[in-house]
Amino acid sequence: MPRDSTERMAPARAADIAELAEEVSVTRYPTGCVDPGAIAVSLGITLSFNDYADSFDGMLEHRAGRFHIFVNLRRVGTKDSPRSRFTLGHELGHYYIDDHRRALASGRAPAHKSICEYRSKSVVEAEADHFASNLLLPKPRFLDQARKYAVGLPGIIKIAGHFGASITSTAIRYASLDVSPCAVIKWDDLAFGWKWLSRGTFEARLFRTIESTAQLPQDCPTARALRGEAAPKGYFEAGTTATAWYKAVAAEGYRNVLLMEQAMQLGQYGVLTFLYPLEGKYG
Amino acid sequence: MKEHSDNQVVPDVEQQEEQLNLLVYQALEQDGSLIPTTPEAVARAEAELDNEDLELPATLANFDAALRHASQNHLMNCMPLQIPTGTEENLARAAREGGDVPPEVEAQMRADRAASEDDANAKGQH
Repeated sequence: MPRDSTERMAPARAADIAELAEEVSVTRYPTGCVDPGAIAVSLGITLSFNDYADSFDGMLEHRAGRFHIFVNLRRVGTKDSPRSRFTLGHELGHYYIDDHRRALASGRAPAHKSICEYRSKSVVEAEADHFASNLLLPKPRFLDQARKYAVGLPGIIKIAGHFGASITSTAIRYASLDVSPCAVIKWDDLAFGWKWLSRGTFEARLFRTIESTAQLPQDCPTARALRGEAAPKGYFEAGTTATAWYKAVAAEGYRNVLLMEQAMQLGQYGVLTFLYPLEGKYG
Repeated sequence: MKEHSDNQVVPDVEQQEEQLNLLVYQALEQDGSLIPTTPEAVARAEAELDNEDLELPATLANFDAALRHASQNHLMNCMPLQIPTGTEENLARAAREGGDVPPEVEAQMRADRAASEDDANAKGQH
């Protein structure tokens, strides 16, 4: 369950967008990695990859009857990086979602400077993110992969590699499909960014997590990752308790179960914390 | 079946209705009002079409032509699309979220787009 603007996306609308993206994904790439760039080209959309300063991740522009996608390499890294692929998927979302495309094509909405991967508060951006997630990580194939691995970041890293997706978007997909009860928390610029809770976590009424770095125990995995310490396995992990992370859980309460806390540095994109109950459920 | 007093066998009401339905169905099928659904009916319809020597109009000659014709003439029996409200405003607001594009970056974008479109044109992608 997302905390930000995606809450405003009506469930029926989200389901329609997911179905649309999955249809595109499964029809064009029944196996293997989805290539959003090739999909764009097949639709007659031209592409540019370059350093466009710091104002957007991607942009879908309509001029003289033609669509064009700009991908900002300063923000997404290389042309084939997972983040670049997600940005292309996001821009394809603006194209495939009828009312987005019509608004852009008619000139009633300006050329679109997108901020991708769930960082924007805008509902149209959340819709395009939702499309990209379902395009690159189609539900049936994602679940097939997820079942192969134990819960936690190592499995998520493998799934991300399989689909050519970013760790962040894969972890969010993992939580949103409720593969196992968990929480995904993103820290940007040494501050809380956002969080996603799986349905299982949400139904256990575990909503309020630590949202301030000052409240983090000094030696917890998240604090160490935020300090930039070198992670021996690529990530930090340690056991913790629900009461340490969820404000509503009393120390003596039945929901105060043992959790695993894993934290990973994402370079310029911050730190990702992954929390899950060690026994697979909350109390 | 019922037996009359003079021993003549006549179908009962249910059977009569069934026979009538069958005759009506076959008549509609032969008339073209119903799409044939059994192998026999399809074979019969195809044989009849062969005898009639029909020529399709150009707009129905192939699927692409039919689709083009339909889109040009705006099919009148289409359901009006439900367009979500607020999308344009939301797109405009989202567009403002990104930072301003400096003039030199804008110039680079225009050059990149022109080059990309030229390339696509040369490859016949447009």
